[in-house]
Amino acid sequence: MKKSISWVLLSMFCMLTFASFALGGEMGVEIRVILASHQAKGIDAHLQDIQKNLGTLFNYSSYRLLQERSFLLSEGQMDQLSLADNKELHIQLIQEQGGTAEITVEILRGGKSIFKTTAKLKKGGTLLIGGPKYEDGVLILAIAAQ
Amino acid sequence: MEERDLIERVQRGEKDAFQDLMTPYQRKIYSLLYGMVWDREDALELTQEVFTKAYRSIRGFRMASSFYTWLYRIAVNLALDFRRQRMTNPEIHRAVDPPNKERPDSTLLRKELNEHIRMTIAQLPPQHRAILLLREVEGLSYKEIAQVMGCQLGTVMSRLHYARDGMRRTLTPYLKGED
Amino acid sequence: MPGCNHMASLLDKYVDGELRPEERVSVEEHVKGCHRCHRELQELTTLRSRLQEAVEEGVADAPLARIWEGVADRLETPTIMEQMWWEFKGLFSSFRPRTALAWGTAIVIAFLVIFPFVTSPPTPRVVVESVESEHPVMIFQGDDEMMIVWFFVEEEGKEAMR
Repeated sequence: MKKSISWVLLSMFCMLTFASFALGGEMGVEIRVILASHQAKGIDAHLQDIQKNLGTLFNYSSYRLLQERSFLLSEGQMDQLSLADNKELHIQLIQEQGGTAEITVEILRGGKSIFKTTAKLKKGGTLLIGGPKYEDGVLILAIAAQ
Repeated sequence: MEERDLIERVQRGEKDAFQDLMTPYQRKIYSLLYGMVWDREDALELTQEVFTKAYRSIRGFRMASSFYTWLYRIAVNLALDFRRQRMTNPEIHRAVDPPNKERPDSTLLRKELNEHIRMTIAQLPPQHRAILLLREVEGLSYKEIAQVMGCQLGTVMSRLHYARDGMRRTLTPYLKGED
Repeated sequence: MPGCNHMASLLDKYVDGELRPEERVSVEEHVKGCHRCHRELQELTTLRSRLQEAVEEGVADAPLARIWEGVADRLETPTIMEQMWWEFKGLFSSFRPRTALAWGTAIVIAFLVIFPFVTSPPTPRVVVESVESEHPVMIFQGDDEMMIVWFFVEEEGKEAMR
């Protein structure tokens, strides 16, 4: 009995060690492009999960989902998303370790960088980047780690 | 190969062979460490630590990578630990003045530029700084840098791009003023 | 032929000698006709030279001869770890690896289960490390799961929103 327990615990140790080395190097990221404005009322049904946060943080009367896209990024990989008004978003996974992703997000207009940030995201965390004007409101980019 | 022979002799315990093995690398290692800490005495102390650690751990060197990437790896890790312990980076709080176009003396301009370079590089995250120095000053390839830093090739490229971008944005006015 | 947007990563690789020959030719052709990329390439090259000079200035008077005095001193003194290892080895002369590993695993698992309950609150799920923008920026923490970065842009020809 004592011998069996030793072997079970030894196997678990090996599995834990292997898992910690095997996992990592990729992260799923979801980007939602939201138009926030004072000109309409209501919140898009697809934004229910962050409705409470949006309502608490900002005082816009309307939040409309313009785009939604998911990326699966490997370390070093960059991907991009076209935004309205000749703008582009570039997102790059710098490193992923133990479930935390270090990402760089850059917004360009006409090919010129107007904003860049580096952040660390864990699963369940959301980075909101806002400010660029569009139509009668502003764009808010919700970047969430999956 | 002479270097391989020296490594094996040191691994067998021949202390005398160690200095012969390390002499070709002392300036390179010092140069990298100086770029990481920007202080001559600290760089000297760190170089001594690197060589000491190399001697103590050389039995674990299996020739899977080149000797100099193994050595650089020790140097980078010690430099990163050193920075974490010291937690000193006074330059980061100092405002960078715009270039003084009324000073035509090229020696003074060059000194001023070097100071700005030092301050700018000090503001880079430590890992980015190490990668920038390994590429720009030590001339390592991306693959060699990835081996030294223990990260993937993609991470090397993205951090290098980020570091260069940061340096260019801050230093371009000074580089233009010089031309 | 690659456009300017694609050039950013290629220019880095070009100055680093990491492109294939046909890619090098492609970059050189583009740069000949593109003022922006030509300027960027010059800046990268100039930056490298200046960085090398700045480091060289500090290394020129390096007291390299003093390296070996310090190394010799350090090597004569055993490290704390080396001392501890010899004491530890003496204590456990009849060492059973499998039993020790099994007990070690049990302790680690117990630690991992108890640890979250006795430590400080978990770190936030999002942390902003750096921001670069020509525009004014505000950063604020929503809660543990959300962080907001807001940059204020005045569009040309359009009125600002209140």
